[in-house]
Amino acid sequence: MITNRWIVFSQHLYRGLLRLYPQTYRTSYESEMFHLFTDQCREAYKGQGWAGILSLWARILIDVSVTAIREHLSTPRASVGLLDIAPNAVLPWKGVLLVLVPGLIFFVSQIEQVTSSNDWFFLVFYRAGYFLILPVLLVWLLTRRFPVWGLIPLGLLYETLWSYGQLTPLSRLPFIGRWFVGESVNLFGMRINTYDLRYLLAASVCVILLGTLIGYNIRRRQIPLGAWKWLGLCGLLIVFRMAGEVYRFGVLQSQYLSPEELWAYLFPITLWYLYDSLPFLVLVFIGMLFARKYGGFSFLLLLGYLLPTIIFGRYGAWNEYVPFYLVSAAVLVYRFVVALVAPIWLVRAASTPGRQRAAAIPVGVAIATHISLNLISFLAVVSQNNYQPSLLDVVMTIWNQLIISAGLGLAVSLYLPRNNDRVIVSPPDLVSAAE
Amino acid sequence: MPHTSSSLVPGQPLTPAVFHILLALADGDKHGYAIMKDVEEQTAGRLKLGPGTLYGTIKRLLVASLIEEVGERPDPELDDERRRYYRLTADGRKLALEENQRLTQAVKAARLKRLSNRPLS
Repeated sequence: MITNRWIVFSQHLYRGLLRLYPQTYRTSYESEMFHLFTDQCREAYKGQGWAGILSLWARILIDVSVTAIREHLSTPRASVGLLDIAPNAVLPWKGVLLVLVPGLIFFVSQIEQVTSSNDWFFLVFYRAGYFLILPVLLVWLLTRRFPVWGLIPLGLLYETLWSYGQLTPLSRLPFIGRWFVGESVNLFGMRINTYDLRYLLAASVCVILLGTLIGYNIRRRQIPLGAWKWLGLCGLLIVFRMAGEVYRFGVLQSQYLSPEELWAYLFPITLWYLYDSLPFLVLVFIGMLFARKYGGFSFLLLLGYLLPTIIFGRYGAWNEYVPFYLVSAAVLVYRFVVALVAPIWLVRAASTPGRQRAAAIPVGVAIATHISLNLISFLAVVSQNNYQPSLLDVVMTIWNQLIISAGLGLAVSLYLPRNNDRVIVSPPDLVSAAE
Repeated sequence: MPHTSSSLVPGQPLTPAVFHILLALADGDKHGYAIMKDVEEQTAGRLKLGPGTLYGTIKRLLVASLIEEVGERPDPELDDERRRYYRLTADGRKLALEENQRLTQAVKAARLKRLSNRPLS
């Protein structure tokens, strides 16, 4: 039997690589694979010396890379954390690391943004939404299971598409875009700019989608009483926001515009605030589609939505009015709790009350940070411009954050029911189809 | 026949690794290294199975009851280490035969279309 330092070194290296395979697989085959590798090493050295060993390693590295991933994806126990979760149990650390990837990217890039002259804004805010979903879709396609670590990228993609959606004029839409090329149309007796019709379309889509999802869950009796209270609060906050903004803009413009012109001016504003308020609620109910499988972990979907909410850098417009260190500190606190603290706490909490705290406390801190920053920035801007803000101005500045807070309360009551640890929804079409 | 792996879909062609491993076991019980050498010989060195591919496939074939373990013993031609031996089951033999028929049919069709140097026998 040939034995030399090439073979001994290769054996040590290969034994280390075998640790990449799942524990259950290693228990059955580690010894056999090690013997086979040793046989291959001896044969390769006997044939071509050290060059044969190098050639063997080129094949072995590919073999280990492909088969270790395959075994992790196909071994039921090993896939816990990577693809599945154990019911009512904490997520294994390998799954936690994957859950943290989007947050780490945002957090590190945020530090980079506030400490250097590089502008990472577009990379982090928009492009991350697209490239982080790619591995999720790939795994979903290959395994026909939506991985638990795909929830944050999915929420992030939803937020990104929604942000881009409001920037897209209808005239750019394929097939139907040519109908919206004209400058204005007559709608409900008002001349409306076709550019603003996108808000009507988007708000209508949101209303229909939200109504469908709520109806779906009502038919299956999956909305507990506590959730109805939060949903009602959300509705009230949205209506108040629309009314408040219409009143603010109406008062400002009433002295310059005729009544007809004023309504034409306020109509798209109303629709825009409706459109701006609804997507988060829609996402909360989309999360219900994942709740049977993931239970309280569905909250990760909402963390993905909240991830890019604050992005300010060294050269942001706010820095003209608010001290840079204050903006940086606020943004880093927000990013830290949403991107890092909340996901780890949520997936490592061992009980439903623990997960409720994990969902409520970090996000509460983040929302409070966001509200404070918005408020400070607004007051700084108006003081610079010698504008005397009314109480309504101040309230409306932070109102959307209150709607999001109520939406988060709704999510906690839907995904994390207080009285039992069982998931409350029946198999949704989307997830069961994916299975 | 219990087929549980994506590489063992009923009615679908077998992957090269699965087919050649079944073929290697067709003429007797073999351990992992012997299977690997047999596959290399069958394919004139074109298919070299790494340990991960070989034992990953063996695991799937065991789950699908296409092969079975038949204990451990040393291979007198190699060394005195005990090695785990595998045997083709009746289901495995049937599946290998079906795959062989499919390939034979494909070769026959290729010859009819003059895609082979050898004449149709």
